[in-house]
Amino acid sequence: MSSTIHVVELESNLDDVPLVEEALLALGFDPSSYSNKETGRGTTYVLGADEQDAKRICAEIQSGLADWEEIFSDSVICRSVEMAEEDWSQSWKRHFHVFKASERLVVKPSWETYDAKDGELVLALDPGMCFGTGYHGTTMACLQFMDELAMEHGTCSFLDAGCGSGILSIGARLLGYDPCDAFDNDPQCITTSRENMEIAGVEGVNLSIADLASYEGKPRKLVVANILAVVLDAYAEAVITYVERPGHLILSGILTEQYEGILSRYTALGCREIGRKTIKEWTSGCFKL
Amino acid sequence: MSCKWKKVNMAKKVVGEVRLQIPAGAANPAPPVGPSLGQAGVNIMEFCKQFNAATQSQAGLVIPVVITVYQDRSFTFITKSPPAAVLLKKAANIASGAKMPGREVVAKVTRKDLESIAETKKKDLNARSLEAAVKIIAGTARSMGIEVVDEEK
Repeated sequence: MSSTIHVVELESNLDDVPLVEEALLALGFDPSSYSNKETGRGTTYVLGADEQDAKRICAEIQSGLADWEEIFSDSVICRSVEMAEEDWSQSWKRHFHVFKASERLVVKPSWETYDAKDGELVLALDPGMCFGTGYHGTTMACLQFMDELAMEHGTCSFLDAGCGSGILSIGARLLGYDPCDAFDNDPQCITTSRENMEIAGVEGVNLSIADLASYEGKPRKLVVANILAVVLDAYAEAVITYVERPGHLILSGILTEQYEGILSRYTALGCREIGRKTIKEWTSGCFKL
Repeated sequence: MSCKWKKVNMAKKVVGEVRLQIPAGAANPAPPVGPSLGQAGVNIMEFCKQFNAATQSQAGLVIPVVITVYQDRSFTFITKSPPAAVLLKKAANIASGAKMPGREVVAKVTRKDLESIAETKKKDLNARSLEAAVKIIAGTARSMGIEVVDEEK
C-alpha cells in the first residue's frame, strides 16, 4: 500500500522545541518533535487527517502562535508537508547493515543474511536500547584490538567492564576468549546482553550487575572498559586491579581531545601503551600491564 | 551502585532527541511514533515494548516522553511531567480550553497556581528561572482562554 500522510511541520531553534510543544498543546494539538543536535534545529510535527485538514491546522497554528512570538528566541517556520507512509515497524532497519568490524569479526543485524567467508566470524545482534551496536568508533576499535591481540598472543580470560549491549563479550566468545565475564551498572543492559547473546548463539559469558567501584570478580588477562573518559579517569585505580598481570587493558569511549589525559593517568599507574586507534572523533588505547 | 557512573554512563555522543506525547501503555509503530523514531533510526518495536512496560500502571494518561538517540542509533528514554496545558486544565477544573482564545475566557487560575505549575515544569521547559517559566505558563493559559488572577478564583 502506497499512501501519503499530511503533516504540519514547525521548524525552530533547539531551545524553543519544548516551548513550541507547549504552545501547540495549549492550542489543542498533539505535537511530536525531533531535535537534531548535529544541525542545531528542531522540527515539531502535528498530524493532519488529510491535506485539507493539515492546511486548516497550519493556518490555526500560525494564528495561534502570534501570542507566543515574544517567548521564542527566534522565528518559528510553520508549513504543511506530505510524507510517504511506510511500514514504520520495519523502515528504521535501513540504518543498519552488515559491516566488517575487524580482520575476522563481521557485525550483522539479526534480520540480514550473510555468508561468512573463510576465517570470518559473524556477530549477529539486534540494535536496541543499550549502547554498543558496533556502528560506533569506540566499539569498533575495541573489537579490532581484541581480534589483533587474539591473533598475536592467543586467547585468554576476558572481562567486559560496562558491557552495554553485550557486543564486546559476544565478540570475545566468538574469537575464543574464555572464561568471559561482563558487568554493567544498568540492569537493562544485562537483560539486553542476555537477549543479544541468544540471538548470536553465544554462551558462556558470566553477566553481573556491578559498577567499577564495587565489582568483585576475578582479575582477567584481557580487560575492556568502553565507558567514558571521565569515568575511566575517576576509577583508574579500580580498573587496573581487574587486570591479571601480565595482561592487557583496552580503554575506550574517549574523545580524541581527552585521550592524552587518560594516557597520562594510566601511564602513571604502570600501564604501557602498545596501540592506539582513532575512529571518527574517538580514540581508544591498548595497554600492557 | 555508583550514581556518578550511572549519570555519565549514558553520555555517549547524542545525535538527536525525539519528543512525543503517547498514551501510557499504548505505544505502537503508527504515526506519530513510527515516523518520528524511524527518521532517527531507532528500533521502534523495542521502544514500544519498553515504553509500554514502563507506563502500563498509568493507563489513561498521556505521557510526554523524550527519546535520546546516540551516534550508533542506540537510545534511552525518560518520561516527563504532564504538559502545562494538562496541569492548567486540572488547576482550573475544566475539560478543555477556549474554542476562541483571546475572545472568550473559560476559566480562571491564580498566580499561585501558575507558580506551582511553573515549578513543576521549569526543568522540562528549559526555563532559566522560575519567573521565565511563569511567563511561559501564562502564555499557555492565555492561549487556552484561561485568565490569570491575583486573588482566589
